[in-house]
Amino acid sequence: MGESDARGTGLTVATKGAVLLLAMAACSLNLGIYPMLALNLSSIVYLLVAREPRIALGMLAFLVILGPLYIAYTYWGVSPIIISPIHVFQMWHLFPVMAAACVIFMTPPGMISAALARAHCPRKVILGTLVFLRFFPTFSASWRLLRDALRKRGLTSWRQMLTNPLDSYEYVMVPSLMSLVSSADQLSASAVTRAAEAPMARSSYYQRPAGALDFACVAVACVACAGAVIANGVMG
Amino acid sequence: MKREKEGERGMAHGPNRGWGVREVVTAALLSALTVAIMFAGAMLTMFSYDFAMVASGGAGVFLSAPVFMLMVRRVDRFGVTCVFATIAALLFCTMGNMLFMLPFYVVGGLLLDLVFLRTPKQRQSSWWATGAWTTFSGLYLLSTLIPYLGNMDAYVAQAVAERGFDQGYVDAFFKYYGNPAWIVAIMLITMVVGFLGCLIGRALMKRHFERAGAL
Repeated sequence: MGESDARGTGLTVATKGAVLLLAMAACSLNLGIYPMLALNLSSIVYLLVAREPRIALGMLAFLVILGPLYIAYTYWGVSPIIISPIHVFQMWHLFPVMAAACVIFMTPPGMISAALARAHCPRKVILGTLVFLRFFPTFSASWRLLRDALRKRGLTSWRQMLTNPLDSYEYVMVPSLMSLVSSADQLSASAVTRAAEAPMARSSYYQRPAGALDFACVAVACVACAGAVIANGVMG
Repeated sequence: MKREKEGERGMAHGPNRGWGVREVVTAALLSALTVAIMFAGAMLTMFSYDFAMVASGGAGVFLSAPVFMLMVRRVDRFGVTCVFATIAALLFCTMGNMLFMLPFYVVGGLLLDLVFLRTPKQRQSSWWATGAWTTFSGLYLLSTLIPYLGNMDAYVAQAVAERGFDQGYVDAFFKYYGNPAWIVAIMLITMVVGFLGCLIGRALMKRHFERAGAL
C-alpha cells in the first residue's frame, strides 16, 4: 500500500480511474511497437508518481523479460517455446492497463469507498467493488497456504497430477472454495459491523479535492496516449 | 435433522429476498474466481493453435462450473448470473475484449436468470444451475465470435498486420471459425464440457459443501 495514500496525500481515485480508462482506450487500438514501448515506459513513471516504487520495480523487471520475448516472437519469427505468442502479445499490449489497475488495487478501500460515494454510486455497487478489489490479495494468501499443504503431502508432483487429474482438481478446488466462502462470510460480517447497511449517507476522512498533481497526471496521461496514437498513425 | 436444517435456512433467508451484504460479497468473490479459472483454463490449451481453437472455451467452462454452482446455491438471489456475467464482461474488457460486448453479457445473464434461476426452488436445484451453466457455455463461445461478425477476413488481416499473429494462427482460425459446421461443433463441445463440469460440481456439492454446512 502506498504510504502517501494512507495519509490521503497521493493521487485521488478519480485520477487513477481516469488514467486506467485512458490506458484501456489507447491499448484497445493495437499500437505498433515503438508507441507501445513509449506507453509501457510511461506506465513505469506513472507507478512512481503514484508512489508505488516496489510495483514499479517489479513491472520494470517484467517488461525487461516481456519486451525481447515479444520482439522475438513477432519480428524475428522465433517459434513459441512455452508461452503462447497470443499471451505475449496480450501482455505487451495490456502492460499500461495492468500498471494502472495495480495502482487502483493498492489504493486503500476507504479512499475508493469515499470516491464512489461522492459519485453517488449505489451502496451495493460500492460494496461489490471493494470486495472485488480484495479478491486478489485474499485468494493469493489462501493459495500460498494451500500450495504449501499440497506440497507437504506430495500432491503437487506432475506424476500425481497427470495420473489423477480429477483427484488433483478436487484437492485444489474444495479447499480454495471453502476458504473463499469463509472469507466471504468474514468480509460480510466485517462490512455489517462497519455499518455497510446503515441508511444514512457515508462520509470519509479520505474525502479531499483533486490537487495540482492530479490535474498534471491526467493531462500527461492524455498527452502520452494521444501522442502514442498519433505516432502510430505517422509510423504506419 | 434435515427438516431442522431447512427451517434454519428458511429463517436465514425467508423474510428478506433482496440482495444483502452477504450475497453481494459472496457473488463478487465467487464471480472473480470463476473468471480467473476460466482464463487459466483457456491458457492451458494454448500450447497448440488447433487445440486452443477447439478447446479453450471448453477448458474454461469445465474447470469453473463448480464455482458457478456453489455461487448460485449460496447466493440464492435473482440476478446472480447477470451479476457474474457483468463482472466477467468487465474483466474481459480490461483484458482486451471489445466494450461493445458488455450488453451481450448483461442481457444474456439476465435471460439465463429469467429462464433457469428465477425462483428459490430453481436456484437450489443442481439441475437448473446445470442448465444455466450449459447454456452460458454455448453463449460464451458464440460471444467470442462477435468481433468477427462484420468482416472476418478484414479482422484477421488486421490481426496479422497489427498483432503479429503468424500464418499458423490464421490457418487454424479459418479452418475452425470460417466453417459454420465447425462453429456449431465447437459450440456443442463447449456445452457438453460445461455440462460435465456441472456434474463434477454437483458431486463436489454433495460430497463436501453440503456436509460441511456451506450450503
